[in-house]
Amino acid sequence: MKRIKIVMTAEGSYPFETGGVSVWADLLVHELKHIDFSIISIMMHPFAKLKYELPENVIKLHMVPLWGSEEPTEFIRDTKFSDVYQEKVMSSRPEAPQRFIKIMQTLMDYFFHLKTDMEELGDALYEFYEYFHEYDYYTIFHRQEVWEAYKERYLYYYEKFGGEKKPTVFDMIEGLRFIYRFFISMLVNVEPADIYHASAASFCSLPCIIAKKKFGSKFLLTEHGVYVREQYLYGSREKVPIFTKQFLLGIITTVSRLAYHFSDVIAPVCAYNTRWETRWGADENKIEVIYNGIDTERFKNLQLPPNERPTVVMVARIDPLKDIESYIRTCKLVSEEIPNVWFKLYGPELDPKYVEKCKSLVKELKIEDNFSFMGLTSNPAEAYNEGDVVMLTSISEAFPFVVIEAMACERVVVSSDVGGTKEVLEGYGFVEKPKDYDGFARSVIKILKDPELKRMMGIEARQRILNGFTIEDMVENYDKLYERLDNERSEERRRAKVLA
Amino acid sequence: MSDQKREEELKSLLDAITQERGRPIDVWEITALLEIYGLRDIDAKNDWGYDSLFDMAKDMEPFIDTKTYEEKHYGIIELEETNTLKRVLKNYFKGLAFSVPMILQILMMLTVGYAIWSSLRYDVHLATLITLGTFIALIVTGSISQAIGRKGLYYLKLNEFALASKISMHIYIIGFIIVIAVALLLIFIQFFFYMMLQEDFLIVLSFYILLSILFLGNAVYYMFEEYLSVTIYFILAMALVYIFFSFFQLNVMMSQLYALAITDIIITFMTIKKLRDLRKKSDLAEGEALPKTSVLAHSLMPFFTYGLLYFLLLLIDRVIAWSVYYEGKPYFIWFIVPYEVGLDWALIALIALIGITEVSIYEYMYRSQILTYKYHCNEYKKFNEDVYSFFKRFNRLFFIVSLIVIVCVYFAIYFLDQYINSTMSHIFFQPPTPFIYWVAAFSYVLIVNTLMNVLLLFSLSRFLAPVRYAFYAVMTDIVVGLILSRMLGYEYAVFGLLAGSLVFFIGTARYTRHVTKNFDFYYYSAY
Repeated sequence: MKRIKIVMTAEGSYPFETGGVSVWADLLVHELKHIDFSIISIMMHPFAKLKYELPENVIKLHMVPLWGSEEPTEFIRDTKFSDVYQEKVMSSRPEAPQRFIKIMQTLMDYFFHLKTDMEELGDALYEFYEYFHEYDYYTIFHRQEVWEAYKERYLYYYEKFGGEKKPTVFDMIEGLRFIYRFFISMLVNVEPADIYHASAASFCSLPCIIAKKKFGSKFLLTEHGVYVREQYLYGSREKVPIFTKQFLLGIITTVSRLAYHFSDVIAPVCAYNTRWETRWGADENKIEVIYNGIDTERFKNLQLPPNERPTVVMVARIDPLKDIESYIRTCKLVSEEIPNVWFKLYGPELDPKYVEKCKSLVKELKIEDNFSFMGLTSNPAEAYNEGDVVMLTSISEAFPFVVIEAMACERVVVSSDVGGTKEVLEGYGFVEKPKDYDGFARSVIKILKDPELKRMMGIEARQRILNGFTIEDMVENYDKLYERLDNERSEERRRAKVLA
Repeated sequence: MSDQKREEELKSLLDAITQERGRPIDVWEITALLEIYGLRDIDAKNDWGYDSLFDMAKDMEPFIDTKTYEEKHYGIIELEETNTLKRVLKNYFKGLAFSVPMILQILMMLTVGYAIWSSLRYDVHLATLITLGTFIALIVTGSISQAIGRKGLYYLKLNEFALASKISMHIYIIGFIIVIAVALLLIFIQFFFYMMLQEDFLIVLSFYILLSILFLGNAVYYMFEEYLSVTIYFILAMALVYIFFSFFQLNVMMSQLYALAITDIIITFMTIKKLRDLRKKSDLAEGEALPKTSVLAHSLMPFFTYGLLYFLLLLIDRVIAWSVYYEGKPYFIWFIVPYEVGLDWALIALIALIGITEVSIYEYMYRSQILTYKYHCNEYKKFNEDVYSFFKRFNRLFFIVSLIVIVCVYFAIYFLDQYINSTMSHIFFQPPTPFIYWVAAFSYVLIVNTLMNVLLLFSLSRFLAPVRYAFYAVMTDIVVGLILSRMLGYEYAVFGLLAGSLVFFIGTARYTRHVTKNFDFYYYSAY
């Protein structure tokens, strides 16, 4: 029987970084043993260690470091340096950059939103790929002609379409450096495969588009968060100079649009993500939500001895996005009603300034006896089980694992209405307006005062998870989708042969 | 809600969501900020009357410019010292720290008459042998030192301590292998061609090996920018020479050999320990993948070659001068005291000027970074002109300072000769030494200026041009030095140094001028 071959592409995650996306990818490659996987991992630099053991059905791992290498291709391709050297010599010829200059100027028109034809952009990108499998990337980007052509286009845009304010020399320089850096992801040797599966609508989607054009591979796109949104927030947080940010987001939004356009199926992890995706050009008909699943054997009711004090647990890193302050204020309100209540917070302290703020708030509200910072836990299942109620006060999430894991442990969850939380929790827990600690407190008190309600809701919550949010569900959904895409591809090829 | 009231509330909401953030660029960013502020589409509808947050953001977009936002300026060195004069002096002395071991040696020579590998007590015979050993050590390890400095520092700056450790150790060991290989080659040549007496050869070989080991260790410490440690090793070696000579009654040469051997053992042990400890420095550094050997060789070759050529340029004229034939010369190379003294005094001018290279690279990088924010993109020509103007002004100033320095050194020797009874200053005023001094000092001024330019070019990732001009310089040095010294006399070998320095200077200065005039491109491509 034919084994399906899938190239999974990741960015800043599997298998060199830990986190939600990596856990998801690791589950898929381990569970779907009848499928051969290759992995293209776009990473910051080449010095990272593997964080996951790769199973035997992962037949190849391509590292694509964007920084930290003397030669952009040295870790990406298996070519001999003598070949690279030949490319360098060829790229030093006077006529060498001309073809690239045209491609680059086309790309820039899209980054500046002057053009929107995704098919033309896809062709330009494919030419980019082909060109840099002939010419040396580093040498071409260091040709003065390339810089001059870039500059000319950049100045033309701001002269004609820009306002009174103009970018600085810094902004202009950063622009071409961004193109150089991020499009290193195009240097990978795209191999034939039935399906290319990208884990974000980001630069890791680019090889998928090339494979689609080159081999007719199917392109499946899973979005855990929304890449465009995350990058907007990054630029905002880091106070990136405005025109640099504008150019950077020009590149990123173009890449995301392109990924939505060329993907055959978009499989976000929750319906909430589609709000952004459809507005950025994703065709609604292509969207098929596949929820993440969890190990319900690991996350279950551990039958711990009953708590001596009514206990509320939250498992979250201490970060402003988790709105720990609302959790603390909820504790204050609940303690006024239930004086011996104990709020536990499990999570790493990554932002010292914010941690200090939270600790001060606990003191200020005089709830030191009711609130504990427990630090990072290595056993979240046990942490959830310690709680009569599990809370999540986040103000930004996609589809939080914390909620489904706690539900699987038969815990009643009180969560803020963020991301796709409602999609799983509504009717099986309490969903409150973010930052509404009065609302959180009311729900917590209600459960703590009604043990029978707590027990019943807990059982129903687990049942909810068992019916659609298990690893088996997730794996089965992907397996079916892979099979369908493979069949579609075979059909397309058969038809193409007939037509030929 | 009245329109005006809504407008005010939207403004204050925008103000709230952009607290401690940069200026939003469009409705998408505002929407994302609204979302992480905890608002939902349903809130937009119930509380504000919009269909979604996206629609609400559209109405907030016009208020973006009603407040000011903070912007980070990336890539600018954080100034430890804002007063320009203080900063320049600080960097000058930082640059000078590189030469402190040399200065200490000179001071020891002036006070006790000997140092780690030199002595006023040596006759010409011994001086020739030890200098030969020293030269070979400098030329062989110069290239390795450049390679360690370049690659080790590259990973150190990335905080990849494991890789910095691995690669430095790798090149350090290669350095040892090269030192041994050259030693074997010398033994082979001596064995078959009997170039000199066995005992003389042994002295050359001993100094070559012992000094090479010391220089290799120094290279690692220089990579860590631990100038003080290098100075301490030199002080240790000097102290040991003094102890062996004064307390154990050994002759100067044997004292130096024993002192070097002990210092070598200590520095080698400490260097290896230092590199090993570096691996444990951070858990964050994972250090898995070293570059492929071919890539490494390709990327290091310019530095390796540059190091070799640089030391050749500094030393080759002496070999040319000493190899001029005259009757009764024991070996084809024979130390000429007046020539060496002229160059040694000129070396003081070089040491005094070397600190300026540190000032130049710091000021160039700092000023150019600031200028990238000062000029709008359509003013890139002004940006280039500004950088070029700084290049011109700095060079002009450098040459004025240099001329003052070499004149000051001359008069310092003059006063030394007048008021302190120093052998070295007496010899200095015997012809042709002053002539050699002036030509060599001027050559060194050119070399230091070239070093400034080379540092700038290296920082802009332009490696090949300096190597090319260094090669032309060495060739010119050899050809001019050989012709003039053979036609007119040994002292004219110094014109080889001058001609080589001039070629090196003109080549790099012209190229740097071109670079600064097109600085936008070179600054962009400095990765």
